[in-house]
Amino acid sequence: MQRPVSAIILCTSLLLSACSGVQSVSEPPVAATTTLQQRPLSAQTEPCQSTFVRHQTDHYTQSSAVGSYVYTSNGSGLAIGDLNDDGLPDIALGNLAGTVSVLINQGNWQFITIPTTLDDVRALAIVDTNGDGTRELVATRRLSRPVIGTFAENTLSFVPMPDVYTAFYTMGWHDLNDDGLLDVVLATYDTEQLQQQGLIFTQRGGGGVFVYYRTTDGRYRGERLNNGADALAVAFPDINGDGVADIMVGNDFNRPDGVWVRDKQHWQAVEPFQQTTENTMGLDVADVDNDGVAEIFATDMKPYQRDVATMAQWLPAMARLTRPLSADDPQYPENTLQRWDGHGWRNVAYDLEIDASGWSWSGKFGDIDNDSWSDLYVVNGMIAKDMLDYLPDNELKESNMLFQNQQGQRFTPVNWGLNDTGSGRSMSMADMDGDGDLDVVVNPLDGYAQLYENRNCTNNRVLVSLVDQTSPNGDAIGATVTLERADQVLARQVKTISGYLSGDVNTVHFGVAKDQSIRKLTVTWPDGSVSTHADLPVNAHIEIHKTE
Amino acid sequence: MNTLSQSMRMQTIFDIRAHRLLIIVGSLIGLGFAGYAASRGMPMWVWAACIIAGVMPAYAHHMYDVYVKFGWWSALLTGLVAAQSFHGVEHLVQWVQYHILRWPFFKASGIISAANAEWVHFVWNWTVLVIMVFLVWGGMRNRYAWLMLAWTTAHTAEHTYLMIRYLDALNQLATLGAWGTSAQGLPGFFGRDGWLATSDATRNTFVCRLPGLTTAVRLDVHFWWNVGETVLLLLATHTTLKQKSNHTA
Repeated sequence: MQRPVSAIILCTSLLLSACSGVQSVSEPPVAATTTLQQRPLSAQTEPCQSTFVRHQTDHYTQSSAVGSYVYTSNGSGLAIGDLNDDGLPDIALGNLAGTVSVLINQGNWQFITIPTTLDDVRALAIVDTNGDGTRELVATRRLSRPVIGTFAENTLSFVPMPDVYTAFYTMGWHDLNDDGLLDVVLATYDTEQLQQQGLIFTQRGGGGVFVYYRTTDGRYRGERLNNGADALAVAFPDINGDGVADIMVGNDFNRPDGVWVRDKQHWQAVEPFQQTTENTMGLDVADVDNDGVAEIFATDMKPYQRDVATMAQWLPAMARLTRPLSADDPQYPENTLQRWDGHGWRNVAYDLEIDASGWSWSGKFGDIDNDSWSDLYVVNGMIAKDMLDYLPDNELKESNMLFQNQQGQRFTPVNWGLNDTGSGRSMSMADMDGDGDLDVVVNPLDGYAQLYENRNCTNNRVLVSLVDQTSPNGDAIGATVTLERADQVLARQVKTISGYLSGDVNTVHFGVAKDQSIRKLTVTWPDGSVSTHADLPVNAHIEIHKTE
Repeated sequence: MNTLSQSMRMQTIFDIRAHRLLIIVGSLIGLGFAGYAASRGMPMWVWAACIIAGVMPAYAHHMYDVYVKFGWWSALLTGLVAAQSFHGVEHLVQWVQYHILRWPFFKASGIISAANAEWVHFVWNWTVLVIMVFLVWGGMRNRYAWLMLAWTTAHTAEHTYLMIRYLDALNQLATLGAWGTSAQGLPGFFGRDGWLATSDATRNTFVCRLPGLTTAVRLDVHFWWNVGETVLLLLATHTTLKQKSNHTA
């Protein structure tokens, strides 16, 4: 059945352009003036195959010198982005007891490793924080304030983030007050801080969720949204359908997730979900069913296999970690996928069979097989001497899981060479080799980081990069790109970070099935202006410049 | 074999007015023990068990009266109907605790099931099945009786599956050295996360997401098992007694 595409497009611009900055949906969008460049994708590596090829790096993420315990067991992040502005995405790999490595992409799966002195890192993001046209590497750290690293002459120099003095766990970058400057949401992991600092943490003001607005003089002005958090993830979904990005913070340890919607220039806490995760590990905002409206995915801990041997491995840990919930508590220890049904958000993860993926950390959607439907990849596992003392090597060994999207109706687990058991923590997807498909980077705990080369050649693909020449937010972070086909609208957001502690590249990816063509591409820019582009080829990298 | 030798009426099953004194005395004694248990901080299921134990002699006496008047088959039927009705109430209480009173899962365990839900229900369902077989063998033969037999067989099979998983899980936990961990409450054959919803044979088919059958939580699944069992038993009993009454007339 043909869907009313124009209606879907309208819905997209009204409901989903999470970064449009439009305060009122009644105002017609302003047309953006743009220029467009396109280049063909590089030839795909032969032979084509349905499995990924693994490339091991020499980066080893070490939890601590004495092994992994609760909290160090949470591992470290990674980020993908073009640090040296050569057009190739680079990789930053976080570390706790060891130091961060930066892999500068030389093309053809060759990388130069740039060591750093930075350790004790949680989240990483490659983002142009100051609008100077070059990207920096931003890191949150376990026990000290966030730092910003500048890359020059194959060296990274880190300085503390100005005006931010708390040890934050996770972050998300977005223009949250429509001034064109990238702001940041930072959130703490109070349970760990209390264990490490005790009362000092409280006496110093404690933690919580903060918005730091960047000011024109290069400083940050903080606004505290609440007084406590056990935050592992930050996302910017449009919760109330007003076309403006809202804030969602995923909390661990039974602490309810925090959601704030923007009411003019104020943030208002809301509880929009009937059911949520109990121990939110990661968040991703993605259009899963190709209706142009983004869903919100959260990872939690629930075994995929339900056999007795698996359950016996889980039961003691879950007894220690989870508390019994009342019937009116919306938190459940399982993944959720929130879908807007016209009246409210409804969790459909169980219906789509992605409620259970294991002890899950980073979970993200990406069209792995380029069939136009976003697949789900989740990395799993746990190592903790104090919590899993009853298991061999204190490890709950689980494979990472890839779920293939069956046209939005359900997800089927597939093994395309991504089912490693290396206790994955952070993970991101990006086209690392210029052939237009999504490759995968995983940073595990107490193991070597893995690069997975996508050798799938069965369908077409399109990459879209945005350059906003009119704004300090040059990468157009927060923009929404919708690709219209004969019967569907595929929406993608330009994000800095998603899943669990995992920085994203600013290029968005669309798979285009062999028998499909692109009818139109629509960009809703962060300032709310809209540009549309027709007659676009497939198998191309399209760069759209906003000039006014 | 002594079967439906005389006509017994439905209300006879619950009519224990002849043993008022025993009920009052038994209840008071049971309440006394329950109060003692409460004062010692014992769990609620112990209080309930004390009261039930206090009332039990009166009902046992009633069953004996039925046996003397109508024979062993009728006495067995009387006992089963009363006990299954009480068990149905147990699940109703559990359902109310969870859905109406909004108690947590672990607390919404009915009146006495908190003792050990797996063992209580396993033993109970096998008892019902065995008694049903005897009742059918002894003459309870109508469509509701056959349906009840099939229903209770399926229900018992699920509890047997649950018990096997429970014991297996305890064994596995013991192997891991995790002695103190409870393995109660694992999903069964039906319901959310049950075998039908998660087995390799049904995953990614329409079967694994049938509303209710593979989406209801365990508490709801067993509430409906028992609603069905209680209703079918009452219908089978009513029909059987009516058949016998007509036959006698």
